[in-house]
Parts: sequence; structure tokens; C-alpha cells
Amino acid sequence: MTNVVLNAIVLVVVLVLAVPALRHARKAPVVWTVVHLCVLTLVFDSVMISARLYEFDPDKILGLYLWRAPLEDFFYAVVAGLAIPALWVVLGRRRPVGPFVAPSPLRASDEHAPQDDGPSRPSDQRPDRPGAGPS
Amino acid sequence: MTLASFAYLGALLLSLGGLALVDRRWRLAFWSDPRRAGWTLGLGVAGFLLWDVAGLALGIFARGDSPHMTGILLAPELPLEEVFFLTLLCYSALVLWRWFDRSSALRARGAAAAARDAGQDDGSDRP
Repeated sequence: MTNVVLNAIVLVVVLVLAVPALRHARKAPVVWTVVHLCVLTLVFDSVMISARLYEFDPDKILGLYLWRAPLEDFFYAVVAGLAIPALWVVLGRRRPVGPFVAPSPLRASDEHAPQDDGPSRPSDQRPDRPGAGPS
Repeated sequence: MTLASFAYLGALLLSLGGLALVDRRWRLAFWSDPRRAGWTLGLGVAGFLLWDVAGLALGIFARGDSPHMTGILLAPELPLEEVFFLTLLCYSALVLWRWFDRSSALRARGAAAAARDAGQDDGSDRP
């Protein structure tokens, strides 16, 4: 099995699991995260390969490179950008005690509402400022 | 083992420390919900490790001959550093997404407040 086949299988599995989990999440932040991770991969994967931290069997990769990063390595960035937000959302559905208690009746659409706390709002335009303490 | 053999591990730890400072400053992950952040990263890293092991078993990639690694292996061809690399990848994803998602929520909330002030009370930022 070549690298692109393995990575495509992983990506399909992650898509099947993550897309339903992120159904109610805002889409643009997820896309933007994937874009940033791909840029980071382009730079740091190239550096890591140049530093000989790891190496590929040339017969098992497509041979398409962006700078020095094989195309296949960008699957890691896409999967991380989908799977990590999905895990965060799914794990938050079982609040408040922990990940292994019975799911609460909270809908996923409640996910993001109470999280934006802290004293450092970048652009809070609301006239009213309810409890700014940590949750 | 020379000092140079810790270069990669040191760079990874330095980067993780930088992310933690960002996390703490804006309360994004561990400084927002430590248990949830821990489970998210733990499960994420475990999944990526399985992917790595599959790649190694299929002979797709292997450890390089860099002098900048400790040489400590967790499994054949799987260096200690890989766990820290995968943690950095997952933590970067979490911090980036939490930041973008919060910015997006605040913008939507600001727009909703503006709409409310204009008389069309909606309040929610999604259908």
C-alpha cells in the first residue's frame, strides 16, 4: 500500500466521524485552521526533511512535492484541523463531570455559547458585559 | 549522546511552551477547560500514533539519520520525538481553532447586538 492510499483511508474515516460532530460548529474557523496548519506543514515539514529527521521510501510516495514536503504529508494537517475541533466538541457534550458520564440532553448547538470568557476579549462590542470571570 | 542530539526535542518543547503561553494568555484550551483539552490532545495524539505505526509497518517512511535526535525509540523506527511532534501538531490545531472560533463568535455576537439595537431581535448567531 502506498502512502497516498493509507492517508486517503485515514482522511475518509476522519471525515465520516468529524463532519457530523462539527455539523453545528462554525465552518470558517475550521477551514481557516486547516489552511494555517497546511502553511505550517509546508514550512516545517520541509525543514524536518532537510534536517533528515525522517525519510520516505521513494517507491511509496507520489513524488509530488510542495517545496520539500511530499503532498502526502498535508493529509496530517487536514486531519488535525478536522479531528481536533471535532474531539473538543464531542468531549464537551458530556459536561460537566467528565468524558465518561452519561451524555446530557444539551444539544450541540449550545456548544459555543458559554465558552468565550476571560478578560481579554479582542473585540467585544456588546454594551452589556455579563460575568467576565473564568468558567 | 551529545548536546546536539537534543536539538529536535528541545525545539519541540520550546514550541510547545510557546503555544502554552498563547493558551494561557487567551484562555483557549488548558486554561479554558483542562480536562477537555487533555482528552482532546490525548486521543488526537493516540490516533496519529496509530497512523504513524501503520506507515512504518507498511515501510512508507522511516527514522532519518539526523544527529539531532536522542536516538531513544518507543518502537522500531518510532523515535521519542515523534510523540512530542504529534502533540505539537494537535495542540497547534486546538489553539488555532479555538482562537478563530472565538473571534468568529464575537463578531457574530457583535453583529447580532447591532441588529438587536436596530430593532430586529434575533439574538442567536446561527439558525
